[in-house]
Amino acid sequence: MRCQPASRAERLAFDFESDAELDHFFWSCHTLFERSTQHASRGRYSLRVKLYPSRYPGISPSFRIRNWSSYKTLHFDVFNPAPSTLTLYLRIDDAYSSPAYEDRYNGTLRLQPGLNRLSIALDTLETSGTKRTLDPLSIKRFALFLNHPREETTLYFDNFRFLSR
Amino acid sequence: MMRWIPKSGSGRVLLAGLLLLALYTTTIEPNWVHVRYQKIISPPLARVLGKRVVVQLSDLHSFSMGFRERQVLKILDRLQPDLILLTGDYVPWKGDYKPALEFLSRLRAKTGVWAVMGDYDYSLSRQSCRFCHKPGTGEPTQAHSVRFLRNSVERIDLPGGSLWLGGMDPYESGVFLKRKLDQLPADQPLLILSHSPLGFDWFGFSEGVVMLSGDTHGGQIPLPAWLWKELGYEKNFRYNQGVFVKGSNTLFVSHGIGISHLPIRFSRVPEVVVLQFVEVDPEGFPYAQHSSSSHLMACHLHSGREHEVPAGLSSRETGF
Repeated sequence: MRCQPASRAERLAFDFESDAELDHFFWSCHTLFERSTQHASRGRYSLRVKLYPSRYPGISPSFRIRNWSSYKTLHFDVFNPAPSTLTLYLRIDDAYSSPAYEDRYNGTLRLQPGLNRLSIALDTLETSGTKRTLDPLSIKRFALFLNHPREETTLYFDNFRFLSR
Repeated sequence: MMRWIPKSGSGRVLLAGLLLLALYTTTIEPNWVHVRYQKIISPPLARVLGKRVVVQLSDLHSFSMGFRERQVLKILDRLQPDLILLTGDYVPWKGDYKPALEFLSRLRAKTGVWAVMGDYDYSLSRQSCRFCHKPGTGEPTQAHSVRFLRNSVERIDLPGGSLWLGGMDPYESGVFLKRKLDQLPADQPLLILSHSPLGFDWFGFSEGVVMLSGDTHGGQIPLPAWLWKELGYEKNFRYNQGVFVKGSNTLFVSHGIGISHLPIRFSRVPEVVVLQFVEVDPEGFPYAQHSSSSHLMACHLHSGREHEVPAGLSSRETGF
């Protein structure tokens, strides 16, 4: 049961109140997903993600929203239980063919210890090298990951939502 | 109701023929599991594996523990393999993973069973974790004893020597496996498993690699190569089935066991492959075909003995 109904301008993507939502994440080696009642910022559950030492462990949700053009921002919450700041990397592709670094959006998010409420402006997504704006009708991949972590890292994600223009 | 039955005798014969063909391709051949004895020329591997029974299974696409799966297990029980090597696609696309996992749990080999993932095995990525882990955990699975190689390499020690077995993952670049292979001692016997035969393109001409793969199903039906190209199936166009040699590297593509896309097999019987690594082929290449690239030859080393059965294994025990 959701305690906070989505506002009219808000489209909820994931709040992890249902186990079925985990089927919309790409499961890969060195990353373990499970729902947790700890550090939920919306409802009862958050997504606890354990990231093991490897190249780029992280999460890649498949949003059921294909057309991002009517949304202004994407918001989500991340709880960092570690006592130190962590850098989370963001990658957004608008092509299936796993585009080169220069032809996709690449960003970094600094996670302070504790709860981080993050937002990404969707109308300023520009590729890193070719400097073109991503096609919001054609978003194919959204990934949040660590870069070669040396230790096991745990993060709690919750409340992925799109806000309309 | 009777209007579809042709009135002419030849029409009826044609209809009967088509019905028999439909029955054969959908019901008989897909379940007619054969043993294929395949020679691979590789002196390093022959020295280590020459006397061992090495079996390759590929593309099971298992919907259930059905007749086909039981036939394969029966054949394995008689072959008593030393090694079983699996080259992916154990499940149907976004289907139930349990039959495949049950099948894996029944595989037995004296030295061990190694495997790589296929693209179908990742169709439900959350379920794919069960090939290696207990559900919902990072702990190793206890459900079967198959060792999955995901862009990793393992050394297998045998009485006759050691070999390195590498596994290429279908969803990561082959460069990651290559980097690990480059760190191995030179001139070591090296066997690579890759679901897709296109993984062969990661190797040049002189690595001395032997690669086993599947994925193509041999097309499931025989079609000319140009048509596979027109249909966009590059893997079938270039490496449909059989042995391919590039310099000192060799690729063998099995046409597998199960079916996908269309529920038919014709002239592509499901096969349990027994690999025979030899130092030289005493008969030479019985048939060699130059592809469009002059340095790449498709070599069919069947020598007319593709379905030979060893003494003690009667023809009744080939699976049907």
